[in-house]
Amino acid sequence: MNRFGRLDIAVGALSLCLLAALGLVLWRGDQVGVSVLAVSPLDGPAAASAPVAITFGEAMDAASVESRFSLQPQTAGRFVWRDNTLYFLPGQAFAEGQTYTVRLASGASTHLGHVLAEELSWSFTTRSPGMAFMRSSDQGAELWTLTDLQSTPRQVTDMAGGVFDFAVSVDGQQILYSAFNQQAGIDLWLVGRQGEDNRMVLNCGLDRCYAPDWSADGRVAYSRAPGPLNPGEGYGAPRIWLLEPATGQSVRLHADTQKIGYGPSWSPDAGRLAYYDGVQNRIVVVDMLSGQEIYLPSRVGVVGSWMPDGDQMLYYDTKLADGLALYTIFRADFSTEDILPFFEPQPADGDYSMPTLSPSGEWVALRVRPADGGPADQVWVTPADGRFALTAAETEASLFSDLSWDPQSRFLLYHRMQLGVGNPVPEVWVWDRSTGTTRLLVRDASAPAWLP
Amino acid sequence: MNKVFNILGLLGLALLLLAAFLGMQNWAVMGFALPDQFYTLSTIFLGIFIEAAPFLLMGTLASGFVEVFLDRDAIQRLMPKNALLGAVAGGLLGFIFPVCECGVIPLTRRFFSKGLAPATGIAFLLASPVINPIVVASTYAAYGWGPVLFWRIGLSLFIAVAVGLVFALQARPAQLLKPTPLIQISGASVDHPHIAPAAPGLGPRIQRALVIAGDEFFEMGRYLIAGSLVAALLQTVVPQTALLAVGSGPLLSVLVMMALAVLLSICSTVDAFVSLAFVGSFTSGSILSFLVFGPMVDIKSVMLYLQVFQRKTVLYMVWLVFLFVLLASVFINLNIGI
Repeated sequence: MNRFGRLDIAVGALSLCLLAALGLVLWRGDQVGVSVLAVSPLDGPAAASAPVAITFGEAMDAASVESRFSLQPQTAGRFVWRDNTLYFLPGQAFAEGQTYTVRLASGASTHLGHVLAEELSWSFTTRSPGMAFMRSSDQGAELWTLTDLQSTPRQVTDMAGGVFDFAVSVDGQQILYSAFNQQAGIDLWLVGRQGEDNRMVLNCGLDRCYAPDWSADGRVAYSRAPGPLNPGEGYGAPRIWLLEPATGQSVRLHADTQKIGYGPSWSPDAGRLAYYDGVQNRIVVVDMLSGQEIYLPSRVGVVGSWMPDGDQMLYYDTKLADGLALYTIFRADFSTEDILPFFEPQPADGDYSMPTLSPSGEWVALRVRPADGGPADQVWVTPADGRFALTAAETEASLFSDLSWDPQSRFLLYHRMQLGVGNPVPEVWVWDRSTGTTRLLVRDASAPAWLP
Repeated sequence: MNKVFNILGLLGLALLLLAAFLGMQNWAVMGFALPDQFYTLSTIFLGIFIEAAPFLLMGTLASGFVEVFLDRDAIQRLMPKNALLGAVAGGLLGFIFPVCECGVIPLTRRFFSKGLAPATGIAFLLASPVINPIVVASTYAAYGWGPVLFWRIGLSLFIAVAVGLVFALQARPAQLLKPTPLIQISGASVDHPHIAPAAPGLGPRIQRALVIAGDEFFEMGRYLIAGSLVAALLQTVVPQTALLAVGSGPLLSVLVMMALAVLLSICSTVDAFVSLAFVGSFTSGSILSFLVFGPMVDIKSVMLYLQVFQRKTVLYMVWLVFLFVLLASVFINLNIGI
């Protein structure tokens, strides 16, 4: 009589087959490797400031990816990770009209042992920046764009004049704007740079969602003021919220609902977020990794301008001098936690405000109002090292605001409202640092921002 | 063996009562505190038992109704004679009898007592915890209409049919089962000697089905208590974090997730949501192994299997399922990468 029946033999044989198959699968090793879900910028015109992004199908070992990443022509920059996406943020903007080739050599691996089986490579070519701005009519404001500085203005929203404000994404592909709804609340909308794919991303109902700002890794911070609890009552104090534009998911920055603030601004590396706390009269700078907060005393109600590495900020505050309250610029260093006057030596008089650092970190544009010069402002440019060496950019008797540098740090965009004329029309001008000349870009326009 | 189960069942029952009693008392105030591990143990134990008990009840109810309303001839008539077709039919039977891994065992035993072929019965036993509308819906809710759902269904069905076909080779199917159920196969009156055969009429027949279900629930319930207690003990002694810390690589991650599935002994109706926590930190193949192996083999279901099948049958069944899931999951990790 057999010790083993048919079942025993079948189980034994099948076990051997399965174990042999397992051995074969293990011996052949990884045949698929890591999947790459998306890359950007894709082929075609790309913003000179656009981060290079690679989204993997699983969590990667950062060091193994970063060591295999290369860019031709060679460009210095830093790596930032969010979830499974690697962002390469160029230290200086890419050159305009230049073709860049990104390579990720095979062998980049995950913590689980998966490797990138084949080299990943693609190219993109950079474009000249355009501009986005607001134009008001009897109905209210709409969003307009110039795809480059020579093109004709084009209206990209049709919100019955309800556009409140906007922010352009770092890669220049999308514009997030806020617009009034039927309940007098303000919703957040998203539109492509050419006016395509216009859609609501966040229905805020009675609340007012405004002042959005994009991070280099595609997140948006915005201010949200709760709607009135009863008809006729006012809006609540605003808080800072974060939004994922792709999904519309939104969460408070702080779990503590008592922390109020508005006007968020991301550091260029997305590692810090600054906003203004109107109750404590200070700028709050939040380290997004550790949650640590740094406070910069300021009574002017706006946040400052970031240095490219995100470790310093230029901001301004009022300072008493001979009984006069004058604006003075300060430099805050978050690594040393020092706050020092920006200019060395300190100017004796005049208002120095609205410092705006160029993306290269070399230049600062600022608004200057001489102490005895009446209500008119001037726009000046000075080296970012703090030497008091001003170059006049705009000295017409006007009010200036919304200063912003192009990605190459060559052109300075600003809003100008001329004084001393009847029915002044808001205008957007540009100053060319290389020639020292100014040029009117658009009349009847306000809140200009680069569309890289 | 039964003595061991009885002791474990009694221990579990004592733990249930103790946990309920402790819940009403503030022992710390009275200067008396049990070790933290005890509270962890009782929480895990209650979690597993309370989650599984309703499904065992549903399974025993289905079993009672099968006993009363489905005769042996009907089973023979409805089920395919061909072993392959029978195994496939058994694999899909969960859509008619949507039972979890606890409930499927008494029902399968009942089917065997009605003369169901081994290939069909074992395919049903292994597949129905996944191939049923409730689990398909919960997996869809967790992972959406995508590869995880398709692979879970496909792989579970394939493995169940394959293992079922292996057991079709047993020349004397009755040898797969424990002696007690074999005696029961000979007639319902032996199975429930104290229950008088039902009088004609719907009411008495339903009453009889309910009595059978009740008896079976209490019979299988002690093994569920014992299984839940062992699973809780192991989870207390071997914390999840210790397992997860070693879980990397295409092979090791699969082994870890299979071990975790056995250890956690979660019902298949909710395991998809639990597995979501591991997505991103574990390979896709290992997540799938958790979703396929867990419903077929875990501590409490193995203890229940041992009440129906011979030890060798359970050993073969668990071993083959283990090998199939391991091979498929490692293959997916290295060759498909869902």
